[in-house]
Amino acid sequence: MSRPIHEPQTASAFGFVGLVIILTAIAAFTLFARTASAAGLLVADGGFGGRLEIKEHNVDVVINNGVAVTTVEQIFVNTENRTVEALYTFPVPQSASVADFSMWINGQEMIGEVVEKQRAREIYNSYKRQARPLDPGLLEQVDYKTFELRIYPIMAKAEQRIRIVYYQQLDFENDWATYVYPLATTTNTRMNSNVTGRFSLRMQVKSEIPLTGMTSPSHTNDFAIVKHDQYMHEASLEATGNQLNRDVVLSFQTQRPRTGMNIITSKPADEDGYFMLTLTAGQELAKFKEGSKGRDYIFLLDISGSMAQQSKLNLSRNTLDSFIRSLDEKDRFELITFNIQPAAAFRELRPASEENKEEGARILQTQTARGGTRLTPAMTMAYQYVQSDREAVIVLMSDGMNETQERQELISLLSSKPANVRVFTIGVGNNINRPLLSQMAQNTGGLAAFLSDGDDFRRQAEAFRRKLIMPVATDVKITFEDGQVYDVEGADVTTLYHGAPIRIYGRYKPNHNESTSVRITANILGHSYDQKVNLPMPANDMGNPEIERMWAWHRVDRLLKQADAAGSRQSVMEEIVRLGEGYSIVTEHTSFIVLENDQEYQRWNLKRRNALRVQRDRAAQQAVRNELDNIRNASLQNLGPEGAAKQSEQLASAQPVQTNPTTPSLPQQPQPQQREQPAPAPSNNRGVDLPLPRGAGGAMNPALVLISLGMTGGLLYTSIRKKNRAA
Amino acid sequence: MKKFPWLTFAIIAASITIHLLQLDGFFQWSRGEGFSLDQFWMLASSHLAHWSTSHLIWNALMFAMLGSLIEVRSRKAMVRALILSVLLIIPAVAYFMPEVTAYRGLSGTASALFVLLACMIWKQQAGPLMKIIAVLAITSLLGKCAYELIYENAAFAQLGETIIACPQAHLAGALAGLLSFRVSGRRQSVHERIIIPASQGA
Repeated sequence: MSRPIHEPQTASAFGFVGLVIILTAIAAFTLFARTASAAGLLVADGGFGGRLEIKEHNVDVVINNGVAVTTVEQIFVNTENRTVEALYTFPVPQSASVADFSMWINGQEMIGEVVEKQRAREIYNSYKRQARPLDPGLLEQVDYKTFELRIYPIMAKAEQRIRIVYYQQLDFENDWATYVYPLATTTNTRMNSNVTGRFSLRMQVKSEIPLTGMTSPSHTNDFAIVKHDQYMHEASLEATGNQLNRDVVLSFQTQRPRTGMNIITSKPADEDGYFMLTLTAGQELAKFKEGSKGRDYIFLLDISGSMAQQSKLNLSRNTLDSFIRSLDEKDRFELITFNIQPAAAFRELRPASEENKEEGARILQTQTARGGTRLTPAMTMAYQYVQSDREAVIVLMSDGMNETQERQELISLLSSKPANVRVFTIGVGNNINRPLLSQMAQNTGGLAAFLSDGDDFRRQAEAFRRKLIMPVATDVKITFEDGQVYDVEGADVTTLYHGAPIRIYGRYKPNHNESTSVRITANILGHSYDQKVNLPMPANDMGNPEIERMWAWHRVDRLLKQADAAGSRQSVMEEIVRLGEGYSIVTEHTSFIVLENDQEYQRWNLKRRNALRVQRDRAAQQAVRNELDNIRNASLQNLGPEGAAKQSEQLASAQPVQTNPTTPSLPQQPQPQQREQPAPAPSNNRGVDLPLPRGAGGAMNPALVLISLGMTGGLLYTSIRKKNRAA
Repeated sequence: MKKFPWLTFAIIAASITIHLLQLDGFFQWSRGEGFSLDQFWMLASSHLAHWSTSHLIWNALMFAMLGSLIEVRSRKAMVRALILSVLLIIPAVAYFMPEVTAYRGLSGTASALFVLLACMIWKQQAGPLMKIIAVLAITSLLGKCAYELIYENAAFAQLGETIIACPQAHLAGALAGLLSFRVSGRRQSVHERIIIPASQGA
């Protein structure tokens, strides 16, 4: 009855309730954090809680003839009162090759080096175990879709500045190239950080093929777009935290009047050159009519649970709806939804009438995402619709996140497809299995496309459909006649679609002519084509060094696909590590490591290959920026009041040449030759129009035939009458 | 005794043979070629090559009809028309159609025979119906060419996506047919002036 008897019970009750409240709060916070999305996910790893913030996030993109160089600079802030390790997870941009990772240590930029993945991890962990750790940074590709960046230590209340550079080859769809800076991601389900800082993105697009449009489907009202002239456009965006929950998408359009080839080269002084060759169908081929026969379309829509993330199912539905509505009345279609089991909407191929299209749209809207993913039964069902007398197209909309063991089964199913079938895959969102979807399309002569949730799905659907209707050229084969070209990547693409160029990378040894003969054979809209052209391959070209890494990335990509198809990567590991280290690109088997100073690199016997490569890349990129600045300044002179143009010209000529304000820390040991290279002049894209088999040979039409018959009949009649009279 | 139109059928047989042996590409005219001595034969051979089987069939039928009618009446006139066609059609295509990189087909020479026959009917046939047919023939050909020139498309016919109609070739052929008829007319007039006075003087 005395109070002390009840106190322990009361205390324990309060303690229990308090613990429940705390656990509930944690669960609720975690639950909400799972579904939040951010500009990558930044957490403090290795301890309970921990908050870091991205204070600044600046993105600078320079697109030079379809090759995008993205420079991301971020400043992290440790808001905790303790030292933490930062773990930053972000999605892999499509076809991106990470070419540089730098950290600012003691106010100086330290450029990272690429090392075999396991070794890089061991080096990084060895620093973490030290009593007074130095400042290592590690950037790894975790799998085909995710990068992870670790920095340790970040002191209490301290800031850490980093820079990441990656190169991408942009794909063209119906003359539109789309650049996506991925921000929407839920790749990490742990606690999220607040994105409170400033975000800016600036894009400069330079093209030898005239630019005819630029737009942002994701941030239409947020971008300022300036078209300086028809070869250079610029766009700029600044955003706050609450606008960073979707990808930034920018699209620009080029139009090549005539079908032709363009080549970009890079030829360092002491090694063989590199080239990127682009074959583009021109506008003159756009006039040609579609075939008279319709096609059968079998749409496969993935409705498994993974499609619920990032509005993937919603995006897929809208895209498919646009696709179906754009079908011609001669076409037929079926809609199959699948998760662990497929379900056909109509159980027959329905003509693409308005009524059937409406019913298809209605069925799409009723779908919800749940369950696992088994693609093989759906693909097998799709094959059953194929008829021998009509071309069939299977369009798969999925994130490709099916079971790993199904991959081999799928690949062998694709190899046994009927002859008149092509498979087109459309990957939606950032968290997708790009390698699988790409391989499925490639193995069947189809195409793969990838949509971001910020993309214009109607335009993409229309562009995709145009490709399906109009493969401009099939059986395309590009060969190099002079024998000085080798290690060609990308030449296995044999179908040219209007609005989607074929790109080939390779190496070359220059000859005395500094050119090479290229032979193209193809079937162009039913007619055989055989043409040779000469393309320049100079003995010296210090511009476009990003092509070298793009070539290496494509080579790694091919090796991985071949190895995965064979079932084991063991045979290609050594080559992939060699390419990753030699060309300083991050792969699934090589990583970037940043160390505090040159002595640490020497201690681990790490060569400063990337530092030298970055120096050359930056010089070339600065030359491009200078050229873009000149174009910008020239166009600015036409603005403002009259008379100011002349004054501006005088002022511009008096200004000093801008240099890159960031001076990286370079290795102290003397390096041969390259250190004193001047900034190279940007090498111009070189192109040649292909003379297409524009044949002439008019037809005799029915009217003339009738008249000819009339003349014939009349002459015969008069002849017979004369004979009769004579008789 | 009427002549057998062997020249007409020889030309058609040659076209069919070339197509069956898939030698159309070899015999076609390609831009940048055909105007040197060793390539002059392409100006003639290109008329025997075709883009497709349907292209060949249509042209062969027309050529057979028109060529037979003309050749049984005047082989010389037909030969003149063919020679003038060879001299006029390819140069017209090369000059007036710079986007064309290759030429094939009998339709240009068929246009020459078409106009030649219409002119012959106009001159030699007394009945009004035939004269109307002759006028209609030439008017239709000119109308078809005008339509194709304006709309850049094959009127009433479609050969294929990379093959375009060639009204310039048909107009050049028509001119060849007309010139051939004019030459035939002058030779006939001269023949009559020379022969008749000689017979009268005998």
